Amino acid sequence: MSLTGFLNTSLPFLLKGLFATIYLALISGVFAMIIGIVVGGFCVRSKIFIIRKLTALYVAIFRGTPILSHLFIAYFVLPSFGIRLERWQAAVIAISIYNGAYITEIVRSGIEAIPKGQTEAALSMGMNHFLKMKLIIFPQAIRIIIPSLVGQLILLVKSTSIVSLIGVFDLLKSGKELINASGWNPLIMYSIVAFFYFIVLYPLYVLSIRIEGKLKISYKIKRELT
Amino acid sequence: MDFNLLVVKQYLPLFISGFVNTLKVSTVSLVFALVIGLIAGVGQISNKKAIKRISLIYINAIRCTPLLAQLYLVFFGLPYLGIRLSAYVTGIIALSLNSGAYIAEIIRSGIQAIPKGQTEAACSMGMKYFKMMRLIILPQAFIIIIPPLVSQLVILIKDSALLSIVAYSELTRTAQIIAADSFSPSEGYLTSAVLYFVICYAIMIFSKYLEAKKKNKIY
Repeated sequence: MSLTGFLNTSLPFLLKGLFATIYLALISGVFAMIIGIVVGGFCVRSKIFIIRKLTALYVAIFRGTPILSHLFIAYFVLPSFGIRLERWQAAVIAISIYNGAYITEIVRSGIEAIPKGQTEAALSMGMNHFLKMKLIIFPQAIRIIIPSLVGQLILLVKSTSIVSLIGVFDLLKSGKELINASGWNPLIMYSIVAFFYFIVLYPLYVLSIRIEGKLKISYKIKRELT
Repeated sequence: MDFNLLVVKQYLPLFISGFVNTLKVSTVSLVFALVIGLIAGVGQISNKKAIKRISLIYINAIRCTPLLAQLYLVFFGLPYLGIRLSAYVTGIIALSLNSGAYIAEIIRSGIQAIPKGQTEAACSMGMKYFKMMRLIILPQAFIIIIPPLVSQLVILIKDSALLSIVAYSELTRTAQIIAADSFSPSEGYLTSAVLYFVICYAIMIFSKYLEAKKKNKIY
C-alpha cells in the first residue's frame, strides 16, 4: 500500500472509526457517570437495607466478571429472556453498567474519605440530607474523586474496543476491515490503530497525572492545618 | 426464561477445563507481569536517563492502548515478522506485557511511598543501589503494594477473557463453543460469568482481609 493510497482511502475510514469510538465512549461515559453518581452517592448510604444490599451486590457482580461476558450476555443471552437489543444498544449498556460499578466505588470511597465532623456540622446547621450532600460533602469529595474518575474514563475508552467483537463499528473494527478489504499488513495497520488510541488517551493520561499532582499539594496543606 | 441446568451438567467437563485454563494462563501471565513490572517500575525512577525513558515509553504505550489492539498486534502482526506462536503463548505475551505496565506503576508508587530517610540511611551504610533496593526498599514497598497488586490480579483474570478471540480455550471461549454446540447461548455465557465471579470474588475478599490486616499493623 502506497502512502497516497493510505491518505486517500484508508485514513478517512480510520477517522470514521475513531469518531465512532469517541461517540460510543461519550454516550457510555455519560451513562456510567449517572449510574456511578446516583448509586455511589445515594444508594450506597440509603436508609433502606435492601437498597444497600442490592448496591453492594451490583458492584461485586460487575467488578467480579469480565466486560466481555457482559457484552455477550447483553447481546446473545438477553434475547432468550425476551429482551432484544440492537448491537450498539447492547454495547452501550454493557460498557456503561460495567464502568458504572467502578465509578460507584470511586464515588463511594471519595465520600467516605470526608471526615465525619463535616456531616455532623452540616446536620447541626439544620441542613437536610440532600442539602448537606450538595453544599458540604460533594464539593469536598469531588476533589478526591476526579483523578480516579479520569483514570476510569481512560479505561472506559479502552474498554470500548471490545464492541467490535459483536460487530459494532469502531476504530479497531475499521482497522480490521481495512486489513480484510485492501490487504494491509496487519502489523502496520494495528500499529496505526494503536497509535490512534494513543493520540486520544495520552492527553487524558497526562491530565490525570497533573490533576493528581495538584491535589497532593492541597492535601499537604490540609494535613499541616489539622 | 430459558436456562436449562441439564445443559450445564452435560457440558460440565468443558467448563472445568476452561476454568482451569483461565487460572493457568492468568497465573503464568502474572508471574511474567511481575518480573516485567519490577524491571519497568524500578527503571522508571532510575537515575540513568536512557533506562528511565525506555521504561516510560513502554508504560505509556501500553496504558494508552486497549488490550484488544495489543492482542491483535501480537497475534496477527508477529507472523509477518516470521514469528509463529501458539494461541497460549500469544495470550501470555499480550497479557503479561499489558499487566506489566500497570504493575510497574504500582511498584513505582510503592517505592515512592517509602520515606526518603530509608534511602539515605542505606546510602550512609555504604550500600550499593541494587543491595539497597533488595534489602531495604523493595521489602518495605512490597507490603504497601499488596492490595493494589491483588486488584490488578483480578483485572488480569478478567482481561484473560479476551484470549477467546485468539481461540485459546479458556472460559469465554468454552462458553462460545457450548453456545454454538447446544444452540442456547444462556447456559454457556451465564455459567462462565458465574465461574469468573467465583474466582474474582474470592480474590477480592482475600484482598479485603489483607487490607484489614495491614491497617491493624500500622495504626
